[in-house]
Amino acid sequence: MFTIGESYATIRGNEFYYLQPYVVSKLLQRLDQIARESPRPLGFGASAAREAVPAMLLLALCKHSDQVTKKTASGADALVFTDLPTSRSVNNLKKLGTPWGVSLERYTSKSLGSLRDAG
Amino acid sequence: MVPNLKVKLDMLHGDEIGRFFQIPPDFSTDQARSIVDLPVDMVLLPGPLLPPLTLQQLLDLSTTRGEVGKPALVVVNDLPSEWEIECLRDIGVDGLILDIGTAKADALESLKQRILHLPRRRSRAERTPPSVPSTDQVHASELEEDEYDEI
Repeated sequence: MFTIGESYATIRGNEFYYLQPYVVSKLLQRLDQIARESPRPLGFGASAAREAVPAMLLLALCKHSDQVTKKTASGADALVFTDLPTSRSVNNLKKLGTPWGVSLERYTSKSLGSLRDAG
Repeated sequence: MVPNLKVKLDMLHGDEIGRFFQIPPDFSTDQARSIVDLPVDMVLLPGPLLPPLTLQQLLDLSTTRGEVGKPALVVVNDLPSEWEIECLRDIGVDGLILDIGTAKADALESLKQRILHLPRRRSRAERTPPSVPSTDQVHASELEEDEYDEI
């Protein structure tokens, strides 16, 4: 990902994506990391301590945010919920550290704002 | 996730979150092309997909994917095979969303491993078959040469 003025852009294969300044979320950064598919560095010891970058993003769609386990959270790049996460669930999700999001169909601007404030 | 077009624009405002828009199945290609200017970061292609996938499903996804100038993901209800994942990747799908409510218990881990072990993406040059000039083109070039000789 690179900048053009105050905006971001990224090249993925033969496609060029122009991103507004506000859209650079953790998930997009991960997507950009995947898109780079950087070649293996040359030299001795280069293969050690190198994270295997997957070819695609993997997200988990969960109906109930309170049923997310550590295993689920660590297996996915992000979690998407279709329910309304409770404050307890939100606290658990914070501890797990995996980016998460919700489906907006049950939200109002106000409830979404409070969820956003909660992290 | 933006599930439909009735979501208020106010809810899409904010600097710190990513938004992905669920493309409805009846979306026209013109509408799909216009997504590039909307305040969403990624799209969810029409789905969910229930493996085994068909060529028709892949064609439909590829058609929509080709029109959308944003990263695209698709929801899968169960574990696709490695070959199916490779086909989805090759038509430009950037990520999979596994519905863990419908998939088997260990499907997420299995899917992660399959994605990690996908073969390298072939470049467009590798995928495009060599072009052979048609007889029409040969005739045209011969004609041009003939005209040049006459001059």
